Amino acid sequence: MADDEVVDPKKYLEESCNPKCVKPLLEYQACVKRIQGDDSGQKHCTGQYFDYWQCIDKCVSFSWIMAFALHIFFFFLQFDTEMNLDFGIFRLHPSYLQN
Amino acid sequence: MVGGGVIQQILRRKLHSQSVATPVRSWFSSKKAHVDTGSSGVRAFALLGAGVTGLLSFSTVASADEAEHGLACPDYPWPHDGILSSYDHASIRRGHQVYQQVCASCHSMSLISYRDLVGVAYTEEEAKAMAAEIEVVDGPNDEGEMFTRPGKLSDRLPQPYANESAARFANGGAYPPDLSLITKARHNGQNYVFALLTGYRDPPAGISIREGLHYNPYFPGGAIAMPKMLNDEAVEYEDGVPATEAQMGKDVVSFLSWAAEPEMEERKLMGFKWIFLLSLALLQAAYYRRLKWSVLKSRKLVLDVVN
Repeated sequence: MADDEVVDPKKYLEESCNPKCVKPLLEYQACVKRIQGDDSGQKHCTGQYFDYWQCIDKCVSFSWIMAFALHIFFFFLQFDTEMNLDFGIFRLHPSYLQN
Repeated sequence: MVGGGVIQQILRRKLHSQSVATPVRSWFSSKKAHVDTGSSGVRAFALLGAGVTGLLSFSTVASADEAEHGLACPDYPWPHDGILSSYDHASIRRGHQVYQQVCASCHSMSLISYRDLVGVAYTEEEAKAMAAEIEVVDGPNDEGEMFTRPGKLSDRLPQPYANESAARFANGGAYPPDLSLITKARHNGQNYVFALLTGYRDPPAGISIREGLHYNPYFPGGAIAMPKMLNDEAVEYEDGVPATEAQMGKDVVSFLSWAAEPEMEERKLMGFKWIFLLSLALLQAAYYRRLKWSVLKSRKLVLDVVN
């Protein structure tokens, strides 16, 4: 196998999106520090946690949309992907499936 | 009216400690302070103030049950989105493999038969061979007894538990739902299931999950009974695609989407064809209507003017 270590694309994208979401991350870390001394068990940082992960998720899905758009663009240049479009008039199908 | 303004001020100060800038509310309160002329205007603004304070208090309550609704899942670019996009059938095949090896030990898919997979993910021979691997209770025979036989194409996918009670007993009281329609049974189902499966994370500071449950921000409430099932290389794909967590998540959601909406491709083709034809028919009908009505619409009425 070419690469022995499989890199999970989602984790990779999440890590690369970290710089874009520094502000909510700092807010979350500030919250963590604020509630550190608390023993009542009532305080939590769910709000800041959600804001941070929402930012990451939006960035990741955007990157994926961009990657998918580029993939489509190159597909139409080369007819070489897994997509299968068939509405009777013409058929685009992967070259390695002989049917 | 003045009381409304005071309430605005108090709420604004309280909310400032929780959230960042709220310029709209300050605009409201400043506007109210200036207006003083006319009793009807004052009453209108008092009502407006009451409404806004109601809205403000609602927002403070709403932020408290963020975890209750679960983190909103993002929209991923599925290959089968789009008005003329079909399913990625290779992905459906891989997704079925993931389901069989990872999910089928707890989740049933009792509405799918082996014959449904023919032509979608497997050939007839492959599906027959897969069905023959399971044992199915059939009968009664001529002697009145139930017997077991190897599966056929017409049989449903096997169920891991005999009934819901058995499923709950084996899973600490939680019922692993049937997955046949799961992407239609959850809001924004496809994105939700993918986010859920790949979204197991450490809980935020201050949140502790009891023994037996796991934290997942996308699950309403945050505490889900299912542990993280998708791990890198958990499955070895037949076609050699590297089985990362995201890849398995994507494939299994493609499979589940197909299972919930097997008619999708035919529906899209039919929809495209008929919307196109009916648009032509609409143009024709519009022309014909205007043609027939032109007689009346172009008539001239003459009023006899009496001098």
